[in-house]
Amino acid sequence: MDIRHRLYPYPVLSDMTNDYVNSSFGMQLEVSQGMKEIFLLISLQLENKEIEQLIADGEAEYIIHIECPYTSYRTVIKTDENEIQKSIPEHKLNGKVAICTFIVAKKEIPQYYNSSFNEDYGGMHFSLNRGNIIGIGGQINIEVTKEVEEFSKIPSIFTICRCAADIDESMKFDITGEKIAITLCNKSFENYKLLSGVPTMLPVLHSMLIVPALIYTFEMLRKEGNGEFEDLKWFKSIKRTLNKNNMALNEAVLDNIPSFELAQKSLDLPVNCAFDALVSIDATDEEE
Amino acid sequence: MINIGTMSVRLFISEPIKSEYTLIFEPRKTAGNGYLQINLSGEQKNVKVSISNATDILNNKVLQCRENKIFIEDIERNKKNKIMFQIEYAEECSLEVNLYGYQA
Repeated sequence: MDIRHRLYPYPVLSDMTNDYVNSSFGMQLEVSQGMKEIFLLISLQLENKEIEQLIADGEAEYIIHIECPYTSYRTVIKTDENEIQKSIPEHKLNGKVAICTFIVAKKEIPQYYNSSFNEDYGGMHFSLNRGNIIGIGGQINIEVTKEVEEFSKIPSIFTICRCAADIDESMKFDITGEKIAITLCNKSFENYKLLSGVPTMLPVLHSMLIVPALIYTFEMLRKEGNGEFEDLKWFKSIKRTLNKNNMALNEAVLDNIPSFELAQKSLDLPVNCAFDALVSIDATDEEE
Repeated sequence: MINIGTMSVRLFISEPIKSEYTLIFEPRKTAGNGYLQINLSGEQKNVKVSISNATDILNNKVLQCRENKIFIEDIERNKKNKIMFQIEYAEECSLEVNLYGYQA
């Protein structure tokens, strides 16, 4: 949602109009990035005692609308506080994120009057309905840029191969190349090709293929040491991801943290994501 | 005809039962004759609205209107205009207003 200039049938406090005099409503935004979240600190600045009183009396509230058009993430925060902290998982955002703030009526206000109305209104009173916008605090757009080689994306450090000869149908791993190779039998590879084109299936594929590949990788590093792998692309990428989680890829970590745990932390809880994806697919099927 | 722009625009519903609105504005340019075009402001796009009974309140003069246009004369830069009109739409709504006139 982008805020557009439009004329409301009653006065609205906004920097786009002078419906109110000696009054203002705006916001300040601080954005910081955590390990896997984006943190927003939104400070709302309202200069109008009567609207402040409406909020204090529970007749109006602040609304913060956050939307990322690219990922379809959308949320609404309703509050009477003028400082709000919000953390959003990083994977839910990509590209433009629009943050819009409003003050809206929480209930019907039959004879709304504000002593700061512009004199053009000549002492008029207005009937506000629940949900009517009283103030517009503006819109701030931020850009969330993902690392090009985000670790969890299969093409970055994993390659899925078809087994040349179907002598063994089990999945195989090879970590000696620049990418971690996951080899599937003919039939599984065809199925993989089919499913990898369905975005909602990706978390499931990650759990089925990437998690065991990473467990195998961490086990191999534990057994054989980092030495011969350190210059490989996949090693550097895994190291960078663990660093983002405040973990080093060294002997101590490999000895003390089980491989299946390291694999899951690296992939941002892939099993949970896979379950969520499957449930959402099931729910969609039922709706259809 | 060009969009000559408006300043200090203010709109309010003056008689909800009759869907009667009051519009106050100052033209950005002098443009002789022209018209106001009024649309319902939608989330994605604007929608034409039929207008009836338009009056220039400051000059106590009935204005011609057709579809979503109110025709006005003597568009003068910075001159305050106050126009009352009714729309054929029962719900209270937000509107978008554009003023068109001939370039002087």
